[in-house]
Amino acid sequence: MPSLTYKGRTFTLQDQQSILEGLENQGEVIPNSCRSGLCQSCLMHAVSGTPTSISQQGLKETLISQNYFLACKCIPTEDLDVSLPSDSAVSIQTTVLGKELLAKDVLCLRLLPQETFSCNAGQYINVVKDDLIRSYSVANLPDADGYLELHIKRLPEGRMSNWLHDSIAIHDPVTIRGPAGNCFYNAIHDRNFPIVLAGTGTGLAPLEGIVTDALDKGHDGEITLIHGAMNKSGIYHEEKLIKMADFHHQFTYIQSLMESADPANSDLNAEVRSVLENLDLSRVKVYLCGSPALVNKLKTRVFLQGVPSYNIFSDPFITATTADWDVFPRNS
Amino acid sequence: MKTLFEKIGGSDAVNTAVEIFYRKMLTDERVNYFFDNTDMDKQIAKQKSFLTMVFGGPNNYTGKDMREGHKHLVARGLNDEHVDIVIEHLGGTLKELGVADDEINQVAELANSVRDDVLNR
Repeated sequence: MPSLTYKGRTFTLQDQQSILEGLENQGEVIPNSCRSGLCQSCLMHAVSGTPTSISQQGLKETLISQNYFLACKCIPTEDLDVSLPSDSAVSIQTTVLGKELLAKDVLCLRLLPQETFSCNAGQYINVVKDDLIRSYSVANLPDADGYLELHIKRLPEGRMSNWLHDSIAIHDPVTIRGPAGNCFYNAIHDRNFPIVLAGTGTGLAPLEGIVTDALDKGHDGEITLIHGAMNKSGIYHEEKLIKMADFHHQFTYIQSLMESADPANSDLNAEVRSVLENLDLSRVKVYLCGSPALVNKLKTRVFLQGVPSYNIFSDPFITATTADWDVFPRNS
Repeated sequence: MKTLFEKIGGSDAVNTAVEIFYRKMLTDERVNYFFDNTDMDKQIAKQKSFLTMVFGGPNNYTGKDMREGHKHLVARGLNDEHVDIVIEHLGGTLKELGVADDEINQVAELANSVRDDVLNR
């Protein structure tokens, strides 16, 4: 019988026993509901070893590639070391490599990890300062660049964002945790499916990271990035993205400004809709980032337009809606 | 005897059915306002459990879950008419998937059996 390790303790599962049952027998409490591989509430992470493919049915590709699985459906065929998703979060020390203002109130922060750190562009990391923890998306390719780039919007009462904007300096230490999130470029079968990415404000950070990653990996399907903002002052990295679009024929960059004089591009929803109209809806992958209200609405509209739900990616944390910035778990 | 869940192809079929069923619910103005502030991914996961249950698949839905899960909707006016609409869309979804009428009736019967729990009566 294969052995199972959880929280540093190793034991042997009984014949035909699922990981969920095995852990429950050991007195562990694992979130679960349907116990039939559908509700995904017993999602766990295999830190080492490969979970069975049956236990990954219905999961998004990005989760599968990171060895996530459903504990209720996993009768392991090899030794596994498993954890609940949040247990994987470990703190990593970084130092500030660079700071630059990208737009009014948007800071580009570059962090240099002091230890090995691997992450996909578009995932998020948590910045930890005393009792404050805030999530920020990774906008570059950290594995290739050797550093992390975050886009940080200054929020009026935001303790973390104001600290990052005003107080920290080059070479200062910053503690991070992660990475996490399944909003990143993933191509298992081919690299020619269309991709549509839409977001507002610093929702550009993960989207820009995903585009960079896709182009870097030789994606040759059409890629369309739509950046929405109130007006021109909310737009950043314009020059960089225009250059990328000039260089890569398959990449299109569109701005959608709510206060635009031209009504044709003042509505992000309409913009996304019209881009999707020209694409194969059964194959397109859609990435959405920005304010929770916007992402939730767009997600539903894109689904209703005909994109399968498993091809729509958005950050799960982004939908934790609350008006209180101090407990708001995600700032970009 | 095979359950409908097994006959239509197990969890793969549920994954297909939920895409059709949830689209029907979201485009029906008689019920779609109940979903205004829900997270689509979570909702789809819940609906997969629900469809598995009404197809006779493995589940551990309990009356208590049904009551708890719908309490806030009953407070917002969820009633028999809305349950009828759910059953109507279930039938429509199964028809699109080529399921025979008498099996659709069995599903409707199973869905009907949780009506009082859903409506907290």
